[in-house]
Amino acid sequence: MFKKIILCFIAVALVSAQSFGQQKDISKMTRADIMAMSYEELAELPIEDVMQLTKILGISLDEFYEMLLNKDVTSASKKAESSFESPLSTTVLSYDEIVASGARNIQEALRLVPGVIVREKTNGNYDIHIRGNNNIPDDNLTVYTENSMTLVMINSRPVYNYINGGTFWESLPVDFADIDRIEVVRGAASALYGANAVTGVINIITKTPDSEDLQVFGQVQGGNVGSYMGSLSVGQNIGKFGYRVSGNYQKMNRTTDKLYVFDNDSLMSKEDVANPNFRFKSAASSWFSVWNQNKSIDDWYKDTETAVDRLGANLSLYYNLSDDINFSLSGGYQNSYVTSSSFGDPAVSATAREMNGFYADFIAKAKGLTLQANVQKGTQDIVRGDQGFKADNTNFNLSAEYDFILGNLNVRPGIYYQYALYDDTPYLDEEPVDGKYTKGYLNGDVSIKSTAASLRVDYKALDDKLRLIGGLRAEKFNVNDDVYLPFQFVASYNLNNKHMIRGVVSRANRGPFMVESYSNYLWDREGVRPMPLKMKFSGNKEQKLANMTMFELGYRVRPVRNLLVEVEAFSTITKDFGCLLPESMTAFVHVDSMVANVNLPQVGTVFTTKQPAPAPAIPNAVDLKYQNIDVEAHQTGVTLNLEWVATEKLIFKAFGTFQKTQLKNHVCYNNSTIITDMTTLAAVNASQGKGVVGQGIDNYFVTPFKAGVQQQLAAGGMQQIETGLTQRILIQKLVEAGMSQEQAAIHSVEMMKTSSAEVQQAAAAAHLLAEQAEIEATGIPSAIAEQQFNAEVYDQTLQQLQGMGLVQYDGRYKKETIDHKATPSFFGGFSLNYTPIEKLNIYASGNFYSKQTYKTSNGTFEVDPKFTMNCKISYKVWKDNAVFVNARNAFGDKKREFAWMDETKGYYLLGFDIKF
Amino acid sequence: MKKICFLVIGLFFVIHNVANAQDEKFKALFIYNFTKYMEWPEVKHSGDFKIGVLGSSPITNELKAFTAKKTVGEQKIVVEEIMAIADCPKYHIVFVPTKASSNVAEVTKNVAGRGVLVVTDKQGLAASYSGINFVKADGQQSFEISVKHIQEQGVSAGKSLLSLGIKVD
Repeated sequence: MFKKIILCFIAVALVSAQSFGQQKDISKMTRADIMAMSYEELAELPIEDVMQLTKILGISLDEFYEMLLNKDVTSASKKAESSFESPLSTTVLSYDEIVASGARNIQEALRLVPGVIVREKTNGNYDIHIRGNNNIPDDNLTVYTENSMTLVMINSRPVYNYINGGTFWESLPVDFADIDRIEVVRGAASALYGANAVTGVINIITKTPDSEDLQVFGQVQGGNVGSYMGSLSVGQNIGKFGYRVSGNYQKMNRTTDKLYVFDNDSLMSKEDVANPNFRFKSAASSWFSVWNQNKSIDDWYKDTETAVDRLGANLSLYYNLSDDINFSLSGGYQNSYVTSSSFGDPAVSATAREMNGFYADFIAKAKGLTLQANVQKGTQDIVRGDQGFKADNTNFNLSAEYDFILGNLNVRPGIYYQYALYDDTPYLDEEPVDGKYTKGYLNGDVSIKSTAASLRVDYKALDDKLRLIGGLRAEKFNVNDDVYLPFQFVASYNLNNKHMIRGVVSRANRGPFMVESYSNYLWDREGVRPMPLKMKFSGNKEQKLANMTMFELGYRVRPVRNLLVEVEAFSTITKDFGCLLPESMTAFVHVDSMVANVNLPQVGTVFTTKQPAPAPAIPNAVDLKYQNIDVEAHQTGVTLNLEWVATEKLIFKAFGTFQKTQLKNHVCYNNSTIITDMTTLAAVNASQGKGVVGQGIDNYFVTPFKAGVQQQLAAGGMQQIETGLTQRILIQKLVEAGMSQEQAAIHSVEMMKTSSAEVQQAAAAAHLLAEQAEIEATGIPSAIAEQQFNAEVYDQTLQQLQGMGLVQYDGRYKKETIDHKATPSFFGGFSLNYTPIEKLNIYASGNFYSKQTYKTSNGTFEVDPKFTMNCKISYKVWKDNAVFVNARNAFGDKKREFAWMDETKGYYLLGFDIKF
Repeated sequence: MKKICFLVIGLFFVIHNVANAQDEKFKALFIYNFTKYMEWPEVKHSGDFKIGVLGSSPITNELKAFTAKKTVGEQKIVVEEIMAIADCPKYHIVFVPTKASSNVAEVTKNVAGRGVLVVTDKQGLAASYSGINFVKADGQQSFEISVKHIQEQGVSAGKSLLSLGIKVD
């Protein structure tokens, strides 16, 4: 076999050499032929031929430069124009460059785009933000680290996730073989694209067959960390008709099969996480298992090793009636499973999501009219296994726009309708009572609809050098009474396609999504989590939508034909953020420490235990509601981009963004802290005789307390209670003995699993005891008090109480301006595309970002500065078909790129690019 | 961060050099071709045929690559770096790179009537000093030629060369 491969290579080399050696007609030579000539061959040519060679080189070089430095783009003005003329900050990533780069999926390819921050969560799953504004608000749920303010589209069809906002990248049905180019517009662009185009737009444009010959594109590759993937696209035109069919598959494993447990700050196996003996580390929660024993961890994960497992299939049909009348109809299917950062709030950082769905997209273009209608229907389970997170969804979009060209004036009116429907009831494990469900987040079918109209006026003057653009859109949603009016004004001046200066003022808004509008969820925590016993999550249809006002100045220059330099300076103000915050609560007050006597029939009391931390008040039930917060993000920054076609063989790109973001009117958004403060103030109010509602409340409190003791007994807790050797103490002792916290956490589980025969017997006895025991509880709380949360009132009240020496208060509800550290102050990258000989291509690229600090309700996480180096080397074995080796994160830097997610690894792959 | 900056700057210079090398290669090819289309006075027909480059320039190595084992008539072609302008008269061709263009007046003064073709690489120099000057026209590498200056330098150009270059006088 090996000999055959060698012989094949030799044959290919001989054929190449023979064809190279043939005397060629100078006028028919290509740039590649000329570049491949030796000094000896060149020196033999008469000067007339040398002149002709330079002519060939000169003309094709111009075309070459234009192709690389001035690509066509449609997303910035909704019609084709050169990227140099683009009135907005725009980058076009071509199929050829994506493939050459070695990126393994669309998300990773975005590392090649200026102004985009791409951070790996688990192998093949990435966090993607344009310019930043991530992790706002801080200190709250992890889900607010997701990007809900960038509009991702495939052929202008939004692939937005309306359940929580943002994009489930793995659910895109397309892959590289489908893609013609990816267009990225940085900055607020809702006037053009509607809601969610706040920080920018990523429009994935798929290939359209342009030949009657069969056109095939594809790639297969496989490597370490269980990575293998492939995509293939076949298409051609047949007369006025055309078709393209494609498929893709991707499988990548995580770099670990363990799960990070927040409370214990350690990685643990799935089995250990689910072990009922494994308790939370913190004293307040140490009564409870890390894993809710009412839920099976096997429902949550197919396995904890898989990072990405997805497939997609697409079929597109085209009919070109004439040059300016054409139609396309595309449809497809996708199915995906990933393990990535959780959309819920479990004890572990990574959970699985699973989704599938079909789509159909129809586009008709006739003269100036563009009509587009599309529908997507599927199922999204965003926290697999956790009831309430799974829903069926239907998204429908309809748009009609017309281009009127009146001399130098281009007027483009448009009308739009969007409809998104989600229904979680088919997946709720309950029979409705009076038609009502209670176990879901939505508990019904809910919808978001919007109708909109837009007008865009584009005027050119002074021989097309001066361009003035005004765009306005009016959009009305069914869940909000306001009419949103995003706008965009641009003035640009293009001097001989060498200098281009532009200024942009625009405003854009996010759209509403299901959870924030319709949440209707009761989290019953009795017996599985510490107080409060119940937490109610409510949506808010009247919440204002987050919006950004942007000022941008841009300058593009091509000092020489083969060099493009771009500078974009931007200043943005983003406000009307929203998040889930406590609105009101009830608390038990005047509580003595709870005492339980564990009695055995005919024996009497065998031991007494008590609530570990007597408290002046204990939260009972908390109502949390999605609501606007006053924080504003003020960002200023500059992005530099340089693209240099040094020679046909060598293309260099470098880009970087410096930015600074300040959060004004910032207060504490930590729900736990707020609930604690509400509890404290409830106690203070109660002690002053205010807000107290005396009730017979023992069942609210004693029952779960008894349940906790029962659970403790059943888990062999008698032994632990009697000896005081709780796991928490065990960990503490191991740490004292010199183990790290993480090692101690893991080791303690092993010790508990493999305990001595005496302990095993005691555990068996404990189970018996738990079945027979009667538990008497005393020390019942005396009242229930209510509290309403208001940050400004709390700031004043807590200051007063601090003055009275009753509380310690750090001013957490005082509005202040702080530096936002979750967006790196500097991020960027470079690429070097080198083709030393026609068949060999080397593409090296690097990405870097400075330090970042994430803050969520799970704590603070520092992401260290990181530089990632990638390289793909490919060799064409037949026409444009190439074998390649590919190294991602080539130096194997392990540093985590996203809070509490997986360490990274070097990913090394072998593969084959197909193109003919 | 410093390492990254150094890396980027380093790459920038590497690429800059590679890009220039491509241009220099074709200029060197032209200079070699000039030897085929020019005539030098009898006094310059003995010894090596010497091409000098004023100061350090990547074109020197390109010229050496093209002229290795090549001759002009019986004269072996030798490429050297010129360290002092006073040495210019002993060469057959003196190339003045762009960065050394400020010296071109002194060079032409030194070589006047001494059988030395002065080739430059800066817009407008053929009109004022050099016999041949490289230019780019519509992205294509070409050259300006001054019959007057070539004659003043004691060299003569063949008709075919004159027809290919852009005459400035």
